[in-house]
Amino acid sequence: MTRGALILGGNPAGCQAALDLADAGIQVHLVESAPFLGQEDRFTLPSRWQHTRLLEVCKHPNITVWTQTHLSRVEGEAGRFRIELRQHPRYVDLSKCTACGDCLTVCPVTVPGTDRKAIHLVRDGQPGCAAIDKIGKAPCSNACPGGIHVQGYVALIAQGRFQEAIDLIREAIPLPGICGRICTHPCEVNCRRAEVDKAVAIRLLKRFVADLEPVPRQESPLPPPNGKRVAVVGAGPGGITVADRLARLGYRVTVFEKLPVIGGMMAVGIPTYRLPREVIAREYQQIQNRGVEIRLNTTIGAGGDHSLDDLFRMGYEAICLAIGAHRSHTLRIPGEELPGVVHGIELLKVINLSQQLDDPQYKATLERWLRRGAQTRVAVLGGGNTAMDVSRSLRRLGVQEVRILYRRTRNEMPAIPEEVEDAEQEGVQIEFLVSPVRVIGDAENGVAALECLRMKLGEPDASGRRRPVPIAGSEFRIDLDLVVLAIGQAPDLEQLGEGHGITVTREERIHVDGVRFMTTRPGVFAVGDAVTSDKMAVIEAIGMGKKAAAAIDAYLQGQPPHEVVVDAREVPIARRELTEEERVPKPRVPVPLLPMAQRLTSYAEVELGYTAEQAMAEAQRCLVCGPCSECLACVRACQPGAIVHEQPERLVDLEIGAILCAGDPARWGLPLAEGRGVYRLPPTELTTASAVAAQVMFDLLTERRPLPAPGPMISDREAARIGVFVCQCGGEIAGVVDTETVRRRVAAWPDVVDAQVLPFSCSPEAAEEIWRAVTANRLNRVVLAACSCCALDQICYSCTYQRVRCKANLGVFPDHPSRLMDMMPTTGKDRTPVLFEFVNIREQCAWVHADDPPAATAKATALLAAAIARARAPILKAPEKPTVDRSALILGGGEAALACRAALTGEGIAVRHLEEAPGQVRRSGGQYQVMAQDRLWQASALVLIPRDAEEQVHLLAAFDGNAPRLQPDPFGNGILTHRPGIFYCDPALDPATVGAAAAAQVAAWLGRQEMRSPLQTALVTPSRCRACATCVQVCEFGAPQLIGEDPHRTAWIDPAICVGCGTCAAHCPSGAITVPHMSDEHLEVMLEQVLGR
Amino acid sequence: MNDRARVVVFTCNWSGYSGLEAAGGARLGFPASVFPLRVTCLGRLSSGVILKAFEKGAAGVLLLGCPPGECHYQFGNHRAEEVLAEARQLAGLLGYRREQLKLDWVDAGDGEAFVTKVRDFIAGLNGK
Repeated sequence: MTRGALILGGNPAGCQAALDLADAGIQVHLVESAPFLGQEDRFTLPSRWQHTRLLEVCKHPNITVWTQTHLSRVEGEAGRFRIELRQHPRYVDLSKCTACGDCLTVCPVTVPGTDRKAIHLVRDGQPGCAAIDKIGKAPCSNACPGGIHVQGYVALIAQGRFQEAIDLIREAIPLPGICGRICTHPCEVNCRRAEVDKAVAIRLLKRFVADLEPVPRQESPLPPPNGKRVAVVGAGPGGITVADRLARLGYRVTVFEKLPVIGGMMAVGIPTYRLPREVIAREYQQIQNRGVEIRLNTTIGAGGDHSLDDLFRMGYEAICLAIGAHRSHTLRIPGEELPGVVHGIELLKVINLSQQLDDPQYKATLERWLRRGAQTRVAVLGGGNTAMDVSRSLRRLGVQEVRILYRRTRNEMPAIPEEVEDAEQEGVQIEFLVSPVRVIGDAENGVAALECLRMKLGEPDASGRRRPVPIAGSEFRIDLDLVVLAIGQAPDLEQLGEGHGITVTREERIHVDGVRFMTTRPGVFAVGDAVTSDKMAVIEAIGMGKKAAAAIDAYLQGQPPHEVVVDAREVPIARRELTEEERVPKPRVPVPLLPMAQRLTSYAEVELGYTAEQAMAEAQRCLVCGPCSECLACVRACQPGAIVHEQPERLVDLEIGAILCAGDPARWGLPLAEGRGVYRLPPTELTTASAVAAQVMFDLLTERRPLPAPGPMISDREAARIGVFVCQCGGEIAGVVDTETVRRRVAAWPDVVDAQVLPFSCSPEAAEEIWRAVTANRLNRVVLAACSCCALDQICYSCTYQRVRCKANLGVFPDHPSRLMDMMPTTGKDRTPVLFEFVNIREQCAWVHADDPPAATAKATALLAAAIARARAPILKAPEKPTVDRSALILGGGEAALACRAALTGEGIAVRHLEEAPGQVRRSGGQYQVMAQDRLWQASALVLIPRDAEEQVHLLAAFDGNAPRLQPDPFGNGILTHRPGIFYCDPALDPATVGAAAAAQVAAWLGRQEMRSPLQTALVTPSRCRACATCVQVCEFGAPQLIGEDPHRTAWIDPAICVGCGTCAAHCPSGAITVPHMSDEHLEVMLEQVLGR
Repeated sequence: MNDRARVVVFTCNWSGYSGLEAAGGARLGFPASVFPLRVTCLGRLSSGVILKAFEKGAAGVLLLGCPPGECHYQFGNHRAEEVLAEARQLAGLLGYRREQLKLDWVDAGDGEAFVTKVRDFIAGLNGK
């Protein structure tokens, strides 16, 4: 590796310097912070030239383009900087995207303050592939323990795309309808809308789409059973998630549930007015439909129906304990053992089961506890959701006096605020800063009263909440009949019995290995409340269940546990400045509630849910933080599979010789003081860019390497063995042209040995396939019908990133380790030469004849016939490439001439300098020649440096012999003329700058000679040439010259000057001149094919 | 002329061809009997090649290149004009009508102009 130049800024100046340096043989790393080159500072060139210029940058073998990249470290000094680049992911694979734009159509997110989608393409920007605007994970998505793409489904709902929304949720979690009701919604807690007014009602949006789909549509088929069985103990959210995930992987899963109902704590701990049992039944049914078996009333443990050993004996290869936390904490205060003190979780279980089961025992228990019926006075101790659920359930049972006693204040309450609000509305009294001291009563009559203390808040405790401190002497007494303890639960491990071999922690939780979720007993795993003392919400249990399922799968597949990654991406959380418009409040759409009168008389669901219109309006409040929402619609739409949402950031270390900062250095955030090896250039001044490039060429002279030469041509002696490949371009071609019919017809033609249809011919896989076919069938000609149009190393106005990529993949360009991207195919690198022909059947057939598929198919066949006819035509031997003489002749003088001369010498170019105006300049033998001072002055390139307007007239007049007059190129930055190899220094510009800039252009032009394909140079057959000089007259570049003496005088085309236009060939009266890539014979056979004769 | 009679449109690689590409990109159509053939520059075409198209059965030959003064090779479209004059004369001697051979240009990327010029050329062939 050589030490090249680092150019910061993909603006016009950065691109100009990059091309100059790269052409001159210097390796260039061009860094741009945006996803596309040339977007911020526009070129002053016409857009067709900006397009070709940018594409040339992307294609150049000496340029590596780094988009969305920042400079993270610069060390060292001029000549040997050590650089670290940090590349933000594009989230689109540059080797696969075809720029079809399907993703733009489906993307639901418009980036705030713009009119473009989160996934976007730009006109005239390169690389011409889509890019996703994703600064990080949205705070809502990041907060979701279940790994749901939250912003994604909100974005889809905002557009009314409800089915896609629910599909996206279901991909992540099995219980959307349940979460849509009782989720603690960390997403909403983190929603940035709360900074403006109130968080988006995300939970209600989820509920809306979950309810829309009572019967889910046909799911993608499950993999075939893998023959392994897993037992899950406990049918709560954690257990059922483990079961569901494993079933989706092909395991046979049985869930053992101790309770007589499914749902675990959700079924016995959550009242029906919050979570109707039909919702549980519906979602569990879907999981059972995936093959999960649930056995109710089955206790696992030494004293139960089956011990752990039994389960292993029964053929289960892994067991997952998801037994929840069903044993209530106690207060440890006097009187706690009295009848009339009950555990909240027990009370809820009895209430819930009394409604769900036809068993009189539950009603009897309830009547015993509520001994005075509606007049029973109840105190509920605790501030969590259980306390709220108990209180609100009791109100529905008609109990009139229900009060919640909580030791801290409303702010510290763990219950969801809307629950607290609903409880109060339903007549529950909440007393804050009250702590019980003892229960007063006796064993016979039960509870009579509760003695309490008033509290105040002190310093924060370990949980971060302020610790309640008793106020001395504040004792008071409340007369009561029932005390309900709702202060937390622990798992009931006693059921496991003796000898289970599982270690239990001091906090009475099952000990598991944090990554593997495995207990101390091999093959036994545990999840949920059974393993953590942080009370788990449903969504947390689901999240843990997903991870545990992955760990169990890894264990059963014999993979090392550290490779179990569910979502370990280290991605930043998206946080951007909100626009003025976004800061305008937009109130939350209120959710309809059951009228108060109906609430206390039934267990009907209180929240009624959004209508479609309400859901869309609410979802439209989303501030699209991502801005990409990760709804994955693009992934589904992208036929070539180019979207990579998990693409990581990339860090790259480079050794660099010189740094060029094009544009404002502040943008790069590093102290880049101009000095040795560090240059600044204004973003749009192209002449300055070239002048700086000249200086860098001098700095890095020892790093210069010649550009790669074109590969060898195929031999003209071999009989044609043709492989034809027809690209479908996804549906872009195949949607109109019947590619299979084309393939079938073509396969029968003479010399066609192989004919294939390819889905995407510009992919690396397609190139691999083509080269496989070349080797297998000994092909020497490949005809590709796709969108590429020529096999030349040339960028035209209509060329695209994909066409360049396709040709680079196939190795059409000079053989070099291509820097277009990192993933070139490996086949075909050490290959025998193959002649390539390309024919565009996309724009030319599929797109212009989209309304007439049979005509498009017939035309594609005809155009392919023409291309095949061309491929079968005799191979014209291209002329030998002469070696490039690195020399330049300066005509003129002054400061610019001195600067130019110094720069050329610095670039290692031999300089001849003639100060006086020459009589006549001519081109001969590959050199510009001038007679002066009685001798011949000559060199490969010529630089005209007039000191003033008068001298300019003289210098340009030296070319008068060849009509028309030599002119400076109006877009040539004061350096270029229309004639190849002739440069110029505009006397109106700063002489030092323009002199150096011209020198850089000379070096670049000489460098390009190395890479030029001889196919593009006109070719003279001397035996047919009559030396009539017609060619000399028609070419205004001076490429054709007459050489030799009569009678052997003949035309010769100077390869350094010939641009390959073919005009000389058209005018040659004896047919002595032709162009190897487009001979008259080529034109004739093509006409024959398309005209059907 | 019937609609199935084939027409050859020679485009140069640069503005002419990019007009055709742009027409495709915008899904602008023209009759499928029109066959574009791409050459580097219209300067590449000799009267021999143009007459060859007629000889092989073309009902019309249209040349679409770069706008005046914007030839990618500076002088190619001037040379094409010279060739066209010569080809016209020869085609006339062979009995082809003036409307059957035309040289025109489109701006780079102007798909609409491309399609309009092709359609107008066909209309001219049909004497409309």
